Amino acid sequence: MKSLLKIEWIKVSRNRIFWFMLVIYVVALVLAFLGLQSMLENANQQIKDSGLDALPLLPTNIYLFPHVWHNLSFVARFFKIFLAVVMIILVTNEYAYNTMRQSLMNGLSRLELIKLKVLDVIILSAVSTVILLVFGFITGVSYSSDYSMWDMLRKLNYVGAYFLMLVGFLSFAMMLAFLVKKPAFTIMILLVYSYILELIPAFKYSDSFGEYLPLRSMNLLIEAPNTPVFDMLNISSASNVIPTSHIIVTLIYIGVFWSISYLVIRKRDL
Amino acid sequence: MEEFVLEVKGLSKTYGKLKAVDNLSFKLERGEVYGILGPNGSGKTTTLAMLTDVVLPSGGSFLWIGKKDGENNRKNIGSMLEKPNFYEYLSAVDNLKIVAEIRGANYSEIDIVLKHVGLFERRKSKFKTFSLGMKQRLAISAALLGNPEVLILDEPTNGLDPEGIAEVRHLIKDLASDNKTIILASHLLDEVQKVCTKMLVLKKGVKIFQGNVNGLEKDKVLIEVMAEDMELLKNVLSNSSDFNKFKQNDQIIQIEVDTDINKSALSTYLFENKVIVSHLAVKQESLEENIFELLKEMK
Repeated sequence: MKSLLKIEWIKVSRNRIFWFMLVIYVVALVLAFLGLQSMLENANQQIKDSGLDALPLLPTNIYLFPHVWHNLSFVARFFKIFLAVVMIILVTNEYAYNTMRQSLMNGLSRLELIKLKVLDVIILSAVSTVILLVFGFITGVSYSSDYSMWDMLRKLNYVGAYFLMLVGFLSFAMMLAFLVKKPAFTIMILLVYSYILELIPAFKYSDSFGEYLPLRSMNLLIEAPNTPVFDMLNISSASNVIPTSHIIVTLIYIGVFWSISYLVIRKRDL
Repeated sequence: MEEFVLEVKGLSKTYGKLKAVDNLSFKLERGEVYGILGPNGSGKTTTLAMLTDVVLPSGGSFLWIGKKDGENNRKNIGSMLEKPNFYEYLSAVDNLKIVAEIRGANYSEIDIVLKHVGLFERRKSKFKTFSLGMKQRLAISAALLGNPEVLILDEPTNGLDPEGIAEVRHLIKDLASDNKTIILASHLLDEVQKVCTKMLVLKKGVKIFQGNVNGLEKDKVLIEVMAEDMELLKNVLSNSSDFNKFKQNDQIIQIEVDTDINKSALSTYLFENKVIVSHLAVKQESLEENIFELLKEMK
């Protein structure tokens, strides 16, 4: 395992496109975290200006413990496509350079070829989760005035759910990349599937299997924080709990994506 | 130490209707340099790809003798197939570090193999800046990492300039004297003759010849003879210096002669020794006919 980690590190650490994408992702994420509060304040100002006093104001104390974990996880959810693109490039590079074939000839097993990329999935997810943790901790400490240890940790399960969601989504991207081989094609398929193809049945059959479709199920791990505004607008997709059923379903999907990736590689001439 | 290093039994690969490799069987002896000779599309690369597990056979089997686990086999085989495969954006050293990690080789070997192929000065250059010849040599250096017993080199002189070709051939001979078993695929008879000790000729995925390279250089011709008195014929032949290599098949005697000795020399000799010949015909062995035909096509 240590050797596999070293191999991936050599490949990734000198890959400029990888760092370029990662920096863009981190900057976008941090800007979104930072900008969120002023965005909400701006919205409140507009509500006030409109003179509709009946409308409640949006909560702007988003960085307070313990809610900061839920709030930031929810925001970060929308940026995971960046990481998926990085993941797709890491897999399709191996096809482009024919290095998957060479690694196999050099002595890796087909299972190890998959393990290398699963490592990438886990590391990328972990990096993003750590950014979330660090940012949440800093803002939480600086904005919250009176908090207990319990307050600080109470909603940390959202960070765990965030990690799980990323592993799920990146595993899906990894599987697509193994199947399709070409980066542009894979990214296109991922976009079309996540923003069009899956949404149709997901909403049409939302009462039955719709919410257990892969990406929908992962997203439902972290729903929008339930605030009075959502209540008033009767938006049902807000919740302050992480559904256990979706944790289980996501774990199953992760297993399925890894297995399909392995089966594809096991049966394919490289 | 086992005598054989590889045993292949009925190995086949079909792509749709095309039989790329057809029921191939052979054994390879340890320490020899094998040339797999054949024109483009004869199944050389497909065969080697199956032996290195990157292509899955449609039928048959092979066994690297002395090893059971498929994975460890490959760590003990240095392979280069078709073209050098490396990460474009990594330096020569970083690329070799990845190979060393996979093969469980020490990083200290990297400088040694790079010096061996003359790339030490360029070790920090990115792979994409290399010329084809340098890429080819880097691939050979990667194959040497971990000091494998077997080397599989597919067209290793492809794209090299004459100087580079000579260097690579010299390198292969060097390695051969190191008691490594080398399998070299080539479409050049000349290359196989210069570098290899044994050869295996493929045509359209079928093995048409396997044997010593030296044996092939001297063209042999078979002459069939029948005589009224077979015993006399045999006696006369045994006493000659040019025709004493013969064997008897039923009522026909087959004599193996060098090409520069012709049929009339034999009939004159037999006539002088009072042998009455009832049949005399020149016949090449069909295997060799095939090779010669093939070699003609390849030129």
